[in-house]
Amino acid sequence: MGGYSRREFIRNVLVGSAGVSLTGIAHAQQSGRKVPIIIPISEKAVKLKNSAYREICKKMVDTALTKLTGTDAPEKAWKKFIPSGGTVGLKINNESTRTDKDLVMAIADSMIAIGQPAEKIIIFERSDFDVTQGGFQINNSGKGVQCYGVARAEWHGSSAEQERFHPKEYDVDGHKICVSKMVTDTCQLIINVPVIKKMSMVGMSCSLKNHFGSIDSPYSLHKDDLHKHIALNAALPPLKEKTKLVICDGVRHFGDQHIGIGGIIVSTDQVAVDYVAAGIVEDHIKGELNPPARYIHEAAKLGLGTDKKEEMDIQKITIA
Amino acid sequence: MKSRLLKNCCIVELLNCYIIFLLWCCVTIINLSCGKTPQSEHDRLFPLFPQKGDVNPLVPEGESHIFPGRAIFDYIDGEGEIVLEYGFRAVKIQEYKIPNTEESMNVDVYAMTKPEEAFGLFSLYQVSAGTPIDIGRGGMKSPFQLMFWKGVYFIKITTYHESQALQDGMERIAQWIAGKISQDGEIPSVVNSLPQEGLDRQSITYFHGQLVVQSKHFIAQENFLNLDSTTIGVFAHYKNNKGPRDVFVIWYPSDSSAQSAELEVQRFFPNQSSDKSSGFRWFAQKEKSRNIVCRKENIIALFLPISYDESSISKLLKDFFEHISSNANIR
Repeated sequence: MGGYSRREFIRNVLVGSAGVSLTGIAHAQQSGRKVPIIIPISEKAVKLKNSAYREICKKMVDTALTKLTGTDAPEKAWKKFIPSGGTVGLKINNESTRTDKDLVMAIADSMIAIGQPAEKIIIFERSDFDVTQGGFQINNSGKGVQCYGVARAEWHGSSAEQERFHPKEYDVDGHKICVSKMVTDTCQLIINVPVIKKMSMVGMSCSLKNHFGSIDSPYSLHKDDLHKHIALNAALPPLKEKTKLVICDGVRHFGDQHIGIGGIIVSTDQVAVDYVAAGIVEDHIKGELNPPARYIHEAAKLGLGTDKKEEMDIQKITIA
Repeated sequence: MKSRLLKNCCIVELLNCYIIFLLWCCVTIINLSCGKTPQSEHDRLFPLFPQKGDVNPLVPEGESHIFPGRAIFDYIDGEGEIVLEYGFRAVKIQEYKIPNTEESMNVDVYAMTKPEEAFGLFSLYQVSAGTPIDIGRGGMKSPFQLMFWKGVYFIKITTYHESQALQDGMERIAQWIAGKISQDGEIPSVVNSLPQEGLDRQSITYFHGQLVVQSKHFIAQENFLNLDSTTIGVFAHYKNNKGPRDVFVIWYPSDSSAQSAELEVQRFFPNQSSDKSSGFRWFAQKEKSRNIVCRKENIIALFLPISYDESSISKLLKDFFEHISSNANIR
């Protein structure tokens, strides 16, 4: 495995044949549980618009979930995640970027198709303002897919709407943090729907940093050791326990602020997803991340997932 | 007679009062319809933004927002830290849309303290921003982003749509705004002091602080170069194999502050060797492909790495410092 960089590894995944399962070395591992990371890719998708695009996104989601869970139907796959009668939260990222609205709605479509009530699906971001930045319409009427912010008003470093956050204070490296009631009370399952973007402070951002929008004072964590804080925040019990699935938006490419590969990255392991995302960013910039995304290893040390390629089973699937 | 006169006087007075009242109403209505509430102090920092009809078919969507000083974090979250390393005053943002479509773009205008700071922010973001475009004092364009700088302003336009109308619209809005900025601004002289052979001009970054250094070539989390608002730095990438690959050059306000920084840097360069005979102090990190730090007076230069043998390093450094000293007009 010597000398085989993350960038080269991910590059081989993206240009490799469909259905190929790649591990950190050329031959299959004989022992040890490997974390599946499913990457459905569609060359056709990026050329489509509106309902046709949304349909192919749904196909990617359905394919990824069945492959991830080893089932033969989306209904069986979703049942492994959605508790009976439970509400599902989709945490998107519209800060200095845009999570693809059609992809997010395709995820909702996939759940609705297997019987999940639309009203029990909530698309959320930090505030109502942040939600609407990506073309989403606010809907907290109780009918249809719900869509609104963790807080109503636009944020200013830390939210003033403390009633929307659970009163339990967590200590994150000396900073007092409360988690939004969207996570602690309203939703029984959180699906992390991040984008892949380049970021000056920590090299890149993807799923692990996405939950800065689920707490009351993300700004306080940006000071000093941001790498450590990203990991510690993602490890907060409500976030860790409820975030069981990552569907990373990597379909369209809009430059540094939204890096695309023509597909999505799906896994139960946020650390592994960010490892793959880091390789994608490095491939995009044709070099190593500066600064290196050390928060990925910090999160692995906390037991949030794996950052070792030999423990990953990455499967690229071509969607026609 | 008297009573009639008195009555007439009262009527006249009442009439006068009534006329005065009517006049006052008219003046008030005119003032309210023509006058505008005074611009906020921060709004005055910015050039005009296009209004409806100025750059058809694009029209402003919603209100503009201004984020001054540390409020930048409300807009771009942690990325605000790197912006604050420059002389940042405020950013004004406005969305523009093509009516009856979902196609839109965001226009961000950063108001800085000096043209050098506007250039600095542009140089930080321009690296992967696409191809050069002739707008303002320098611009870069990609399918989803256009940025340029002029005077004390750095302008960034971002879209998530690919239509030709938007691509054209980005350029037209950029040209319109550039036309409203009277001051041109000069590229800092330190930038032009770099040796030109093998220089990747698009890599040049003017900076002051540690976060920029980390984002270009990560060496350590600590501010081991003792950088702050008084230090002026330039980063550049060289493509040929004859010279250094990445170069940082930092000017300190005094020889003593550069010397303090040099002592700090030594901690991060183990396996040192140095050569004082050439008149320079330098430290080499590895055997053949070397990371070298060198100080002369109030200037520290880092070469990451140099593929040279030891005998030619001194000449390289001598030539390098002669070049930048004679071409940089600083302080």
